[in-house]
Amino acid sequence: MSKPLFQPLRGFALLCLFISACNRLEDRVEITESRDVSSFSQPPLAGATSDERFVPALRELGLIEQPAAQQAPPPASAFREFLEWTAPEGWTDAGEDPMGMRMVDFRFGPAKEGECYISLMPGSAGGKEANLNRWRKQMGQPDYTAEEIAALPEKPFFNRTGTYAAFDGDFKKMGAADAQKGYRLIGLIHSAPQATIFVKMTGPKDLVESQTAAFDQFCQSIRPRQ
Amino acid sequence: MTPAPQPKSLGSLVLRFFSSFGLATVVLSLLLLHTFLGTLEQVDHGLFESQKKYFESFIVWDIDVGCCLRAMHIPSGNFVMPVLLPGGFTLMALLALNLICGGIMRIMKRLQKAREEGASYNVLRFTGLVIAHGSMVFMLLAGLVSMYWKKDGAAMLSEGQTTEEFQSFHDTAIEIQQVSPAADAGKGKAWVIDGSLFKDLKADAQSGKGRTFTQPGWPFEIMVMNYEVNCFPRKPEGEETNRTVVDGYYLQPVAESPEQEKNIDGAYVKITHSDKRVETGILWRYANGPLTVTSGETTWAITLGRKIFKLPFAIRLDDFQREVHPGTERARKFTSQITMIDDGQEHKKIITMNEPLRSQGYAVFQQSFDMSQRSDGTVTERSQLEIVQNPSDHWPLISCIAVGFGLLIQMGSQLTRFLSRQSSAPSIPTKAVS
Repeated sequence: MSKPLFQPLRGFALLCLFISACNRLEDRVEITESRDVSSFSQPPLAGATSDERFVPALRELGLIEQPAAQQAPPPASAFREFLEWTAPEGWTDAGEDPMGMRMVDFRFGPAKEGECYISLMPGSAGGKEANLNRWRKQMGQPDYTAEEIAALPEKPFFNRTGTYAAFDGDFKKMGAADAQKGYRLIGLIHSAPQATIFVKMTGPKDLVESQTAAFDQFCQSIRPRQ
Repeated sequence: MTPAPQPKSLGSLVLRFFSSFGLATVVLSLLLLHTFLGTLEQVDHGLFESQKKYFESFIVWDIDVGCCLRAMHIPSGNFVMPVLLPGGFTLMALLALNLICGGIMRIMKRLQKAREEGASYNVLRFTGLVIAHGSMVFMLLAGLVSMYWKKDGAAMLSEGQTTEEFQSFHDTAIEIQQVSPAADAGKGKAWVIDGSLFKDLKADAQSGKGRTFTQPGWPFEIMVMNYEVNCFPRKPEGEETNRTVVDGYYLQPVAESPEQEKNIDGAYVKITHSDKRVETGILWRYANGPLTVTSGETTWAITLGRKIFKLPFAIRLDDFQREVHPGTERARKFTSQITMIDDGQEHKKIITMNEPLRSQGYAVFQQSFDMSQRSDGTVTERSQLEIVQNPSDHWPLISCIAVGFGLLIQMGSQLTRFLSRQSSAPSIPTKAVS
């Protein structure tokens, strides 16, 4: 008869059922793993509220809206959709910036060593002074004083005016190993509460000087798409 | 009269099966098929899942035919075909067995032949065969060791920043660290709850699932509950929810991404203090700060994140360089100039694409970079370094060299025997040409 065989099986099945029905709330495990905290690591920012812990990351992920002043700049495609301009002769469009920082990006010169691009930042983007001095640093030049900034000329730009700066130096492109000597930078910054727009041209000094009129013409040609 | 063939024993039949060329052919064909299907399926399911299904498994239960067709640009619906195929583990185990048995069989056959011919046998004749087969098994073993014991992750560094830690790509952990009173610099300790101990506590499986973690000397114990693989904290905003709301937030589960790296996990924790006070909190991997627990005079930080591993040396990023293709912003080469700080000694090193830094069993590769614009307009560059500690790092190279060496001996031995047979054979008389 098979009954004696079934009895231990039945007992085993009941045991399995009992184990699976066990509430994990009863599970207790002693932690045995630990690690030494590096002296180089930042201590955890204890004491943060739930809003402080979650809101910045939720904003970054786009799961909640950014405050108006911190909204991300529109993507380059949107910029091209709403604005139009006239590219000076000999300038070639370098296409979409893979880093998404340049809304419009042109190259010019015999070896296409000259660059002119538009970038857009939300809000005041740190202010005119900080951005001009950031450009000065890239060219290996000392910061502008407040007086020098106040004396910078304004040029017509997008139905308003923008602060115009032009200076020479050794240009160290972001991430580049060495500075390129004998370069010139010309740029225009227009700042509004909603956004700050930059037009920046860099290249060998002679080349940029020969394109200064084209730069002005390009800046004045930027207009809303009809 | 020819003698009747003796019946073969079960052992010899099993040995013949596992040493057969047929088995090797089938196993290698299936591995090829898995590589093909895995490559196609990773389009929809992601590399991690695809690798797990085809290579880190004992059995493959189905093939997503629809996905495979779409990956080959053939329009198709959703069709998953149930199958029962041996998985990567099974196939590689069979291949290892085949190589071992194949080696034994060939040695036995040669010994038997030598006995039949009454010739003495030279052990050196089998050396090449043993080395070649052994090396191939060693290569498979390298894969197994790498699978179970490899640690890999990444460290993201800004210029001037130093680290001696890296974060796992996939492994999750909860860390509990006393932050006040703070430990002396370099003497802090974080307790680690490995993800394998709480990842089964999913909210959808059985309500009330939880596991309590304790540590002698702590003024509290911590229960982890309702783990979600992909979720985000959400405010109820007036809507009714049956989820636990803690400090105005609950964890909203979202569909799991096939790309495992994109999932942001979270869990609820219940802290029971020694004075029986109970508090609940939410852990979320993207949170900007830890969950803070105060018990008496001590303050503790609890975080859920990628598992952190410590390096035996520190790395400081001195300079990050990015070369672009001329006339574009497309990156051509990334290079990190670093200082390796080992036992107080500083060593200048360069890590660039395909030229990793190797030291003390760790390999540091240039993986990627990150550029972000801050709200003040400044741009920060960060270099992403991939760090791998693999005990079997060099085993495939050793194995390849050994296989080559073994085959050279084997072929050399065959050639020598062939030439010696040729020279000892009676010469064929040639006809004189008149």
